[in-house]
Amino acid sequence: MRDDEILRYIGPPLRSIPLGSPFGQRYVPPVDDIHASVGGGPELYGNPDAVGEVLFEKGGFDAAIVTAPNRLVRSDRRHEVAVMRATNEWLAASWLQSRHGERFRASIDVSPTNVAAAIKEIERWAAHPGFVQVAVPLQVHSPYGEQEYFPILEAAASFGLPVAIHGDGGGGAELTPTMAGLPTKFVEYHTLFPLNAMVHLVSVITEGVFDRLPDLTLVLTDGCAAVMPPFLWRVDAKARALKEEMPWVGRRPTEYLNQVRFVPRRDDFPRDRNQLETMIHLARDGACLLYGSNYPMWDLVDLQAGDWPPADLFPQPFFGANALDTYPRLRPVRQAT
Amino acid sequence: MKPETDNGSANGGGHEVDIRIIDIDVHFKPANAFALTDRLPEPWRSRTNIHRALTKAPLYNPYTGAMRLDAKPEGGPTGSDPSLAGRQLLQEAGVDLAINIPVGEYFCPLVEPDLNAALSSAVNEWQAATWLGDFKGHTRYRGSISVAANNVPAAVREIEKWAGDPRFVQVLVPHHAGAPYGSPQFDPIWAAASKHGLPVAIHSNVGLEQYMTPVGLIQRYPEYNGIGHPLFLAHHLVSLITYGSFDRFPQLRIVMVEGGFSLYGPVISRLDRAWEALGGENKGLPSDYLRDHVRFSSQPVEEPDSFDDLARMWAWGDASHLLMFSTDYPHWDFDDPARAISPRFGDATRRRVYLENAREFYGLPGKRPADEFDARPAPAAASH
Repeated sequence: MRDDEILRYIGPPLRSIPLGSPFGQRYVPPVDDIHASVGGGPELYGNPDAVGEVLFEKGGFDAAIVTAPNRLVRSDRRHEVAVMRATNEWLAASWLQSRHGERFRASIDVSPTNVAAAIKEIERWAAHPGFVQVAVPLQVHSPYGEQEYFPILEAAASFGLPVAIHGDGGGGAELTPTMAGLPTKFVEYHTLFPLNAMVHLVSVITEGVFDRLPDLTLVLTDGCAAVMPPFLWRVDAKARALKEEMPWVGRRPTEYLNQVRFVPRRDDFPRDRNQLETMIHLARDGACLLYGSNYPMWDLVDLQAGDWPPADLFPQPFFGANALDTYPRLRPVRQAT
Repeated sequence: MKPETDNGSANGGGHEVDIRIIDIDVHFKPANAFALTDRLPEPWRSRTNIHRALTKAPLYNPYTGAMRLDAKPEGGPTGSDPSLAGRQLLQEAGVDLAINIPVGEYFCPLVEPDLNAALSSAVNEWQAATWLGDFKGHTRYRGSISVAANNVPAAVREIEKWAGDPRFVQVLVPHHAGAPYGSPQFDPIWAAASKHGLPVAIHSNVGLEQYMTPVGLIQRYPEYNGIGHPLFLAHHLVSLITYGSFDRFPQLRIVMVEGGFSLYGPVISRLDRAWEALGGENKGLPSDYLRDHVRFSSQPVEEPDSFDDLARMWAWGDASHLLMFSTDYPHWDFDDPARAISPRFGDATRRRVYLENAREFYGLPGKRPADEFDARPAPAAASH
C-alpha cells in the first residue's frame, strides 16, 4: 500500500497531512526488515494480486481477512474520520475488487472517537458482502465498555459483524503504553503492550455490554490468549464477591468467553508442549482461538513452515471452522471453493 | 542466607515449635497518624495538615471498604490492635511467622522526595518500636524496610540504617515510581539491597501511582484489582529482566506481592519467544532468571472452576519454587491457610508454598518459641 492510494480518497485540506504516524514510532523492532516474512517490499505486500498468489495459490488458504493499517487515534479528529473513510473506500476498490477479490474479506475501519461517524461508516459498508467485521484501534482514550462506545458495538452486533480490537503500531495520539512507565526496549514494549487488550475485555464485561448485546463477538487480534484466562480468574473472584455492586452483569467474567475470540501471535506459542496445550485448553479447548498469520509482519505465524508449534497440536477448527462460526459472512467463500 | 537464630522472649512455656506456615504479606497499622508524624523531623512535623497528607485511600475499593469487617478494633483502624491481630492471624489462622508490609493509610508514598524519605524513616522506626518490638511478647513478626522510590540516595541510606537489624527481612518499594524498575535510576537501591542479602518486595501503595491505564480510565475495583495491579507488576518484572538489572546485580532478589501468580507464566513465555527473534542483551532466556531472582505472593489464590486449570497454570508458573503463601491480613479477601491451597496440589507442593519457599528465600528459622497464641491449637485443616 502506498499512501497516495488512500490519500486520493481524502479531500483538501486534510489530504496534506501525512497518513502514517505523524512522529514515527517510539518502539521499532530491531529486525532487518519488519516485513521480513514476505521476501519483498511494498510492491509485493501492497499488491493484492501478488499477496493473493502467496496466500491462496501457494499458501493454500481459502480466505483471508484484511485489516488495514492507519487505525491510529489521531489528535485531529476530523483527520481520523477522513482516513478511516478513505481506507474503507480503498479496501472496497482495491483488495475486494482484485483478482482474488472473492477470497479477500476486509474489516470496516471505524474511528472510536467520533461515534456518529463510526456508525455511519458501519451502516455504509454493512451491506457490502466483502466486509466481515468492524475494526477499532487498541489504543484509545477510554476502554470499550464505556457507554460512549456502546452505539458502535450495538451497530456492529446488529449487522452480525464481530468487532476486532487491533493494535496500530504505536504511533498515534495515545496514552503511555504501559502502567508502570515507558518501556525502555522494543522487546519490553512488544511483550507488554498487547496485555492492554484485557482492559477493554474486562471493561466490556463489567459494564454489561455482553449482557445487552448477546450477539456481539469481540475479536482480540494482538494475542495474549494464555494470559487472559488467569487475569479473568482474578476478576471473577472479585466480581463474585461484589456481585451486588454490579447487578447489571449477569454472569461471571470467564463465562463470557464464548463471545470472545483471540488471535494468538507467534510469541503466544510457548516452546513447551504442555504450556501450549494449556493455552489451547483455557481458550475453551481452542474454540476461542482464530488463526491469524499477521502477514506480512516480521512475527508472522506460519504453521505450515514447520516452525514451532506443529499444526497438529491444534484442534482442526482453529484453521477454519472457528472463523466460519465467528464470521458468518465468510461462508460463501467456503462454498465457492 | 543463613537462618537467623531465635532470640525472642516467649510466654508459651519455654519450648519451641516447628514453623509450618509463613505469611509474607500482612498489614499492620498504628492507632492514628500521630504515631508517624511524631516521628518526623522538622520542618515536616509541624507542617499544617501533615497528618492529612498521610491519610489516603485507593481510588478503587469495594463499596464497604477493603478490610475484614471483623478485624476492626474499637477506636482504631483495622490492623492496629496486636491482641486482635494475634488472635485472628496467629491463633485462628495458625500463621507461624508473618512479614509486615507497611502500605496504605499512614504509609502512603508522598510526592515531596525529602518528606517521603522522612516518612519512610518514621515508618521503619514505628515498625521497629511497635510490631517488631517487644510489646507483644512474641517474635512472630518481621518487617520491611520501607524506602522512598522517588529519593534514591535516601532510600540507600535507609537500607544501610536497618540492614543489620534481623527483624527486617526485606526492602519495600511501591508498585509505581514513574518508571519501570529496570531503569538504571533505581540501581543504587538494588545495589544496597543486594549487598545486604535483602530481597526487595514490590507492593501496591497509594500516593504516587497513576490510575490511567494505557487505554483509559477504568471504573471500579474488580477491574483495578483484577488487572491494574498485575499490569504494574508484570511491567516491572519484564523491565528488570530486559534492562539487565539481574545481570548487573546477580544477588538481586525481587518479591512480586499481591499482583497474582498464574498470569506470569504466559507473560514470561511471551517474552522468551520475543527474545528469540529480537535478540536480548541478557545472558540467558528471560525465564532462566526466575528461580534465582523472583518470587510471588499467593493471595488471592485464583479460583477457576476447575482445579485442573489452576494446577496447569501453577505448573507453567513453577509454583513449587516461586510461590510463597500470604494471607493479606486484615484485608477483606484474606486467604485462610486452612483452605487457600488445595490438598490436591499434594503435600510436597503445599509444604513448599506454605513454608519452604519463604523460609529459604528470607533465611527464616525452622522453629520458634511457643507463645500465648499457641495456647489453643491451630485449626486441624491448616496442618499438612
